Amino acid sequence: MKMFNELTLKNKIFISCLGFILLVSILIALFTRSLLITGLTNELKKRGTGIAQGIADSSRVHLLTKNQAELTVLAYDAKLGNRKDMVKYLIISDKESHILAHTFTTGLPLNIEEIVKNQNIEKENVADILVDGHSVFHVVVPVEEGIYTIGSVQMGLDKQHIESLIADLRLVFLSFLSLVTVIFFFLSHRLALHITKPVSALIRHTDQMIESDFDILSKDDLDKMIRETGAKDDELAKLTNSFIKMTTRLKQSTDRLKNSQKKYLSLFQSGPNPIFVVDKNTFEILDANPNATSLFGYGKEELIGMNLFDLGSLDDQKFIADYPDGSAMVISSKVKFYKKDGGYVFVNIHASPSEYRNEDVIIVAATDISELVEKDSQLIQASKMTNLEKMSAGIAHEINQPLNAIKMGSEYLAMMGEKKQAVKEEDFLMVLKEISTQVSRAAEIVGRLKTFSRKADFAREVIDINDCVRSVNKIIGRQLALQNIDLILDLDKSIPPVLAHNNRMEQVIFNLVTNARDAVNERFETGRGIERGIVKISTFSDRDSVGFVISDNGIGIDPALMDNIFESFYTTKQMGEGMGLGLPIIQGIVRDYNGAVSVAGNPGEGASFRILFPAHLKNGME
Amino acid sequence: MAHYFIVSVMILKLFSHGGDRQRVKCRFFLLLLVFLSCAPQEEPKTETEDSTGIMTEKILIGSSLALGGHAGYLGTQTLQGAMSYIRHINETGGIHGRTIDLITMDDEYDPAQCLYNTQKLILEKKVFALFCYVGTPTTVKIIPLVNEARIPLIGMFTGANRLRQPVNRYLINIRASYYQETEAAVDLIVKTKKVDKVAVFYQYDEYGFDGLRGTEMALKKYGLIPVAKGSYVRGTLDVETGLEKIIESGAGAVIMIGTYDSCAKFINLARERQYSPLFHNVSFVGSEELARRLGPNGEGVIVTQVVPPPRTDEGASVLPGVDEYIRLLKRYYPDSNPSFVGLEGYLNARILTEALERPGRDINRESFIRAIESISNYDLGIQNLLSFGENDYQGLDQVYYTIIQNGELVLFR
Repeated sequence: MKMFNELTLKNKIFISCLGFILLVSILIALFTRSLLITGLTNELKKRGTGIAQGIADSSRVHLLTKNQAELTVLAYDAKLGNRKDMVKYLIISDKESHILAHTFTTGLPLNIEEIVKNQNIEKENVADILVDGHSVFHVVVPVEEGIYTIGSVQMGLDKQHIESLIADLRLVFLSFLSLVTVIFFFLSHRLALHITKPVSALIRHTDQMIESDFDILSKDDLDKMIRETGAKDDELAKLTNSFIKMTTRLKQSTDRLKNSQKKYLSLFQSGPNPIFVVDKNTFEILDANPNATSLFGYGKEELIGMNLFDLGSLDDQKFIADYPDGSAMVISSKVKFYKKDGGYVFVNIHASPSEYRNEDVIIVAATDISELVEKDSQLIQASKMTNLEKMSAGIAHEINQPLNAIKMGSEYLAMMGEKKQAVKEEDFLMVLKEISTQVSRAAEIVGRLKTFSRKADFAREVIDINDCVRSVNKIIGRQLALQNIDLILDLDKSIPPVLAHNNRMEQVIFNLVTNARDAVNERFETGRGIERGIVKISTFSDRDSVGFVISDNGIGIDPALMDNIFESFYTTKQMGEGMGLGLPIIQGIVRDYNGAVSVAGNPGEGASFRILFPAHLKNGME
Repeated sequence: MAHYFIVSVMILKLFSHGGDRQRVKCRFFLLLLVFLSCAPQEEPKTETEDSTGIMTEKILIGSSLALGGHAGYLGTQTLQGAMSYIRHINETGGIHGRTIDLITMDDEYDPAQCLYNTQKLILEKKVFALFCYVGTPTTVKIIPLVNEARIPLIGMFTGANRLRQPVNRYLINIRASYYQETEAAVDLIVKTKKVDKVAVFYQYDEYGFDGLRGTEMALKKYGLIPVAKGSYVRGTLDVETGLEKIIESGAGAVIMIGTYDSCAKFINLARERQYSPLFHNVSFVGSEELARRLGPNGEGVIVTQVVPPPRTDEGASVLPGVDEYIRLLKRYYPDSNPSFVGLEGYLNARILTEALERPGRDINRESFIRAIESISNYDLGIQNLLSFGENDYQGLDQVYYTIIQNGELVLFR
C-alpha cells in the first residue's frame, strides 16, 4: 500500500484499472473453469451412455445369433469419426460377461476381462476406473430381450478427451481475456495519460511561476497554460481556470503586500519616534529604526541583540505582567532610558504585538518626552516657590525666634563683659549651649527650606510616605500652630513603601496642607463656629495600595465646583492670591507615580483629599 | 494459469518500459505471438518402430479376402497370383532368411467379417502387415483399425478413393483408382465413341458409390450428367429395377460398377430385351469370369484394366512380368488359369517382397513403409514403371482398355 501511495497519479489510475480487470478476468476464468469441467463431464457421460444405448439396440439381434463379426463392426462403428477421441474402447459381452466383441486393435488390456466381469450389467451405470493406465468413465448399458438381460455394452470414455476439450476451451477463453486485458492495458494507459497530462502541464507551469516569483504571469503565459493543459470543458478546465484565478488573486495580494511593506518600512524608517522590534519572550531587540539609533547614540548593530530592559529603567516584571498576551497597547509613561554616553531621556513606551520574520514580536515605540518632563519640573518648582513665598513671613518669624534667643544670650554676655562682672561658670556654659542650640535650630529650618525648595528632577525611588508627612510637618507645623490650626498626624507605621520621589511627594502634601490651612483661615474669617482649625493627615494601606488622607474642618467645597477644582487656572481665591495651578499640579505628580486623587466634602463641613498609590511590593508579589 | 503468468510478466515488462511508442507496439505483437504459440500442440508424428510379426524364421503377413461367396473368384484369383510368387520366394530362400507366412482368412466379401478377421489378425495372429485385401466395402471398413494399430496394408484389390484420399502412409495401393478407370471409360465413351447419354449401373455400397462419383466427376468435365442411375444390393442379383430405369433413359452407354455375377445378369437381361448400348465395366468386375458368364452376349463389352492382359500369345511383345506370372501360376496352381485379377495379386506380391527385402533383416513397420516410399521407377516387367513417394502411396496409374471378343479379353487402344 505504501508503494502504491508513492506512485504517480498516472500509474495509480493505470494500475487500478489493470488490477481490476485482471482480478475480474481471473475470477471469470476460475468460475468458467469449474463450470466447464462439471458441465463437460456430465455431457460426456450423457453422450457416452447415448452411444452405448444405440449400440445396445443394434447389437441385440447379433447377440442372439452370437455373430461376433457383426458385433465387432458395431463396436468399431461406435468409434467412427470424431467419436474416436471420446470413445476409448467398446466391449460387447454376453450375459455371462464373456467378451464377444471389442475395439482393442493393438492389444487387450490385462485387467479388462476382470473389469467386464465385475460390472453390474443389469442396469445402466457409469464407473470411474483405470484401464491400461488411462483414467476412463466405464459406461455399462445392458442389452435386453424382453425383460431379461442377454448381454451388455460396456464403453470406456476417455477422460483425457474432456481434459483436452477443457484445455482448448480454456485456451480460447484465456486468450480472449488476455486480449481484453491487453486492450484495457492500452485503454487505461491512454486514460491515465489523458487525465494526468493536463495535470502535469499545470504542475510544470506552477513550478515555473514559483521559480520566477509570479513574474511571468502575463496574459500570454496564461493562454499558453490553458492550451498546453489541453483542457476543454471538463473538470480539468475548471481546475485550470480556478488555478489561474487563484494565481492572479495571489499576485494581486502579493503586490499589495509588497506595497504595504514598503509603506510600513518607510514609516518605520522615517517615523519621528524611535521604534524597536523586540522578541516577545526574550525582549531582545531585533531591529530598530534610525531614530532610535540617533536618539540613543548606539549604532544599529549595537542595538540589535541588546535587551530592551538594559536600555532603560523599564520595570521588566511589570511590563511582562501587564503584557500577558499582548492584545492591547501598553503605555508606560516617563520611563527613563539611558543613552550610550550616559545621558538619559524620558520616554513614553507604546507596545503592540506583531509578527516579524515569522516570529512573535513586540513593536515598542519610545516617544521622547524629556522636554515635557523638564517643563513639568519647572512648573512644579514655580508652584513650590509660590507656596514658599506665602510662607516666608511665618518662616521669618520662626527663624527670628532663635535669632532673638541668641541675641538675648549674646547681649547678656556682652553686658556682663562691659560690667566686668563675672559670669558664673555654669551660667556661661548654659548661655553658650543655648546659643548653639538656637543656631542649630535656625540652621535646620534653613536647611529644610533649602531642601524643599530645591528643584527636583523626575525620578522614581522607594520612599515611605510617613517620612514625607513628618518632613512637611516640620516645615509647616509650627506656623499652623501660630495660626490656631492643629496639624494632627495619624500615621500607620506599617504601610509598605511606594515608588515615588520624596521632594515631589512632600510638595503634594505641602500643597494640600496649605490649601487646608487656607480653607480653615477662610472659615475663621467668616467667624462661624470653630475655636481651632484642625488639619489631619492619616496614612493607611489597603491590600496593594498605599495612601493618605488630608482632611480639614475648613469651609469645605461646593459640590457644584467639585468637578472644576482639578482644572488648570481655576481658583476660588481672589485675584493675585493664587494661580489656580495647585491641584492640577498635584494631580499631575500623583499620576506620574500611578496614583489617584479623590476629594470629598460639603460646604461648611470641611474637605478631605484622598491620595492612593500602588504599593511597591518586593518581587512584584505579596 | 501458467499462461496467465506469462501474460502478466509481459504486461509488467511492457509497463516498465512504457512511453516508447515504437517499443510498446513491438511488445504488443510479441504478446500476440505468445497467444498464438499457445495453440494446441501438434499430434505426435505417426511413426512406429514396431516389428510385430517378424519372427526369426518367418514373416507373418495377414490377409482377409473373399475366398468363397459371390466374389469368391476374385479373392481366389488374387490369392493364387500372389501366392505363386510368395511360394516361389519362399522356395528360393525367402527374404533375409525368413519365409513369408501369409495367413489368410475368408470374409466372403462381407465387411463385418473382414473387420472381425482383421482384428483377429492384428490382435491374435500378430501379423507384421496386411496384404491383398479384396473389395472396397471390406477394405474401407478396416481403415480405422489400420490407423489405430499403425499396421501397413499393402496391395488392395480395389480402386476406392477412400483408400487414397486423404493420403495415409499405412494404406499402400499399387493399382490405379476407380476414378482413373471411370475417367478413362468416360473419355472413351464420350470422346471416342461420341456417346453423350451415359447411364451408371452400380453396386449399392462403398464400391459402387466410389465408381459413381468417379463417373459423375468425369462426365462433369464434358458438361454431362448420368442420364440414369441403377443400382443393386451387394450379394444379390436384383438388377431388374436398375435395368428398367436405364432402358427407359435410352442411354447409349452404361458404365457398370459391380461384380461379375450381377453385371453378367444385367447384360444378359439387357440383351434379352434387345437393349444393347455400350457396356463398360471396371477392373474389379472380374473380366474372365464375366466373359465366361456372358458367353456370346459378352461380345463388345468393354472392361478397363489396371494391369496388362495376362497372356503370352499377343504377338511379339511378351511382357517378362506377365510371363513370369503365368509360369509360376502354372507351377504352383496348375489347375488355375491366368487372369487379370491374378496378375494383380502377383504384382502385389512382387512389391511386398521388394519392400520386405529393402530394409534388411532388422525390419520394422516404419522401415518397411520407408522402403515402399523409396521404390521409384521400379520395373515389374509390364512396361509400366512403378513409383511410390513420400506422399504418393499408389504405385501404378495406367488404365488399359479391353474388349470381349469371342469370349476373350482383347487389349485395344
